[in-house]
Amino acid sequence: MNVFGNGRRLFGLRAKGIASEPDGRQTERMGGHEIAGDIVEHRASFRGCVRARQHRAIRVEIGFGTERDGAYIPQIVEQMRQCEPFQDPARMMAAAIGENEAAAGEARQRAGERCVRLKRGKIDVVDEGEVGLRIDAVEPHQAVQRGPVVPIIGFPNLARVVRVQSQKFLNEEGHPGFDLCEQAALRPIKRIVEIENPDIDVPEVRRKIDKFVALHCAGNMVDGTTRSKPAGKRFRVSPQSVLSVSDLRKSYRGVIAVDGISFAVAPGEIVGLLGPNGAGKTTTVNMLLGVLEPSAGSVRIDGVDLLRRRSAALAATNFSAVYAVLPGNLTVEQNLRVFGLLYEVPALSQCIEDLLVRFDLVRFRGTRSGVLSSGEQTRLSLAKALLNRPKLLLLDEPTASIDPAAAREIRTTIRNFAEENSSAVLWTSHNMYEVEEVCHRVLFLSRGRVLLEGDPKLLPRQHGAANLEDLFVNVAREQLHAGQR
Amino acid sequence: MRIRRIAAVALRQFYLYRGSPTRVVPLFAWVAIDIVLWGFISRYLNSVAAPGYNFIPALLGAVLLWDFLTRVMQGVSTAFLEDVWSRNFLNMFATPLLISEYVCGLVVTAIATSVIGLLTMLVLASLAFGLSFLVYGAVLVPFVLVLFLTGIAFGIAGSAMVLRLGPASEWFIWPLPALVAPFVGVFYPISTLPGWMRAISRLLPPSYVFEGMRAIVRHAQWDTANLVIGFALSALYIVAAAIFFRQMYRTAVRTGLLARYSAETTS
Repeated sequence: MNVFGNGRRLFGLRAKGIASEPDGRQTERMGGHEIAGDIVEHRASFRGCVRARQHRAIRVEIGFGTERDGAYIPQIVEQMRQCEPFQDPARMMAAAIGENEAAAGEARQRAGERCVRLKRGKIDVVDEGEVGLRIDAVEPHQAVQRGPVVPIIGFPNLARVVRVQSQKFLNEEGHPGFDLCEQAALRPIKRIVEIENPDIDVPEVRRKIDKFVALHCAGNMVDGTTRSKPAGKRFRVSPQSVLSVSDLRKSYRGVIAVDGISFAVAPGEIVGLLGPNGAGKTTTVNMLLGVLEPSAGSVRIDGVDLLRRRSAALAATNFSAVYAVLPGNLTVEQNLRVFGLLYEVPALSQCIEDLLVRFDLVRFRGTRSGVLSSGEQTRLSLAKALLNRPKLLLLDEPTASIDPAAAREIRTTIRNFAEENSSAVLWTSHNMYEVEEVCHRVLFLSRGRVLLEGDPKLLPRQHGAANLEDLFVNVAREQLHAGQR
Repeated sequence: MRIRRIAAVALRQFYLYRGSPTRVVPLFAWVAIDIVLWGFISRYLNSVAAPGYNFIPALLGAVLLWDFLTRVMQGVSTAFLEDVWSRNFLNMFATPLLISEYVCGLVVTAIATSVIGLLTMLVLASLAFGLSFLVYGAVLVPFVLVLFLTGIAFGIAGSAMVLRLGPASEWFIWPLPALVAPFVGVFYPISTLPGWMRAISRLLPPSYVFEGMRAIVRHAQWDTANLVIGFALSALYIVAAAIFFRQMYRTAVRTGLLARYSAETTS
């Protein structure tokens, strides 16, 4: 079967897809070279993409921008084969692409920087014209019959990742089915039907999904989407996602601190933001708090655009950070009262009393917070953070200076708070035990990008690490090595 | 703008003053010393100068009004610096607080603190040196208002400068009144100044106040249009200072300085 006939050249697409043959047989292809089945030569083309309507849900693409780049795609495929059992598709792809840098360099000369930009050592590509791994999942047309989604070789965890339905797959000539993946990437996805696999651990997939979610929050999506399933709990990322971050970037005079991260946090969900020092966690938190302006991207808190309606967005937010202690020259009660007024908390006096009790601060009511121990100051900071019952709670190492017993109590308090109030919590910590205990999902940041994402209980195993701390160390080493390069 | 949030900013300052005598004493101590010093100087000048001209309303009155402006300016900037000193920017500006509300809160604080200073000076100057404000008549009210607005503008502008340049730049604020004083003719008529200084003084609202005050004391003719100019200028200063503060805030947010304020620079 010739999936893609000769004809119009699509930008940078070599597709691995699963084709549903007329006889019901399913084949897999990558870069025009079938992996499991007949080898087929093809060129991406308009005509071919019309046929691509027959493709089932998931396609994985490697785009190098020029037709001749297809010459070394078989090498990548071969390396992928050698990487069995494909435990870590992200690293495998990174390695494969990285080793083809020379070929990419040639392609760069031929095609110009616009087409080929290889980022070594990591999978980087989502945007048009860049090189790397793009994973799209499209259910292209209503005419496509639903059926079981077939696992793609080498990407077992992506097997049932996502099915996305776009309502606009018309090209400029008005034909349906044009370049489905490009459409999925660049055009508004009208509807995310569902995300079936809770164990999505490839950040690019998550990023793409989050991009869809961000679009969805802007009113493009109809249905909700099921997110990860941590600790036996499923979260619905819906139009009411408490936090939606899309393509968030921050650079300081050419130095990129945060490099286009996207994610969403559902009501009641606790998401851990992990990463080595300098990975971009605090920069991200600062941007979410409105005290640092992003270079690009958008942040929506409880449906409100932070950049456009800062005050309204921050009214639904609060935070506690180890580096943002409350004024030490005010007493505990005074601090809570001042910040309660700033957040316009109703029945403030009663609220303060409740928090003083909850965080065991009653006896310090009249004590200046500057003379409290660091643990007591942390409790005060957390009490302040819960004053307005925030829909989004940002916690930057909230238990850093607290003894284990108190830390456990605080974790319980935060978890209960999130559950009772359907609040989303973004939690940064270097305590992996804590993260594993508290967080439903974690995002590993490295060099300003989301490197890994998933259930903290499952991620280590999926990436060949003994535990979350080992995985953290691996990520940190990767960052260190990348910095040395 | 929300009243509760403005009140929160002012309440924080109230708590600080209530719990700290070291903050309360300067509210009246320095102005009292100034009044005593200039009161005796005025009294001495009255004894050596030709009779017919009273230095008490001319000199001591001028000092009092200038001190009032200084107190207003410091009221704003000190309230702002409290957040600098306690590294509270992250906590404050991560709330729904608007910049306009924050600045209003500082102004409310400045009103309270400067009124304390003004009352102290009025009482001391009246009781100890016989200064009567009836000499100035009803025009004293717009005089005070122009100086108040100018002081607010200076305070906001000084705070914006510290916001942009970092904590160490607070020393820019304190000498600001001393820098302006020679141009506005607190102690002498503007005509005493050379041409280029007179040109600058025409751009400064207090110049019109002190010129008017001296004219009234000398029972000389004085065009009230000057007062209107002073008012317009001070209003302009307020608007310019507010815009300046907003711009500095935005710069601090964009560059990351607000989040890392103690670093003084993000470069």
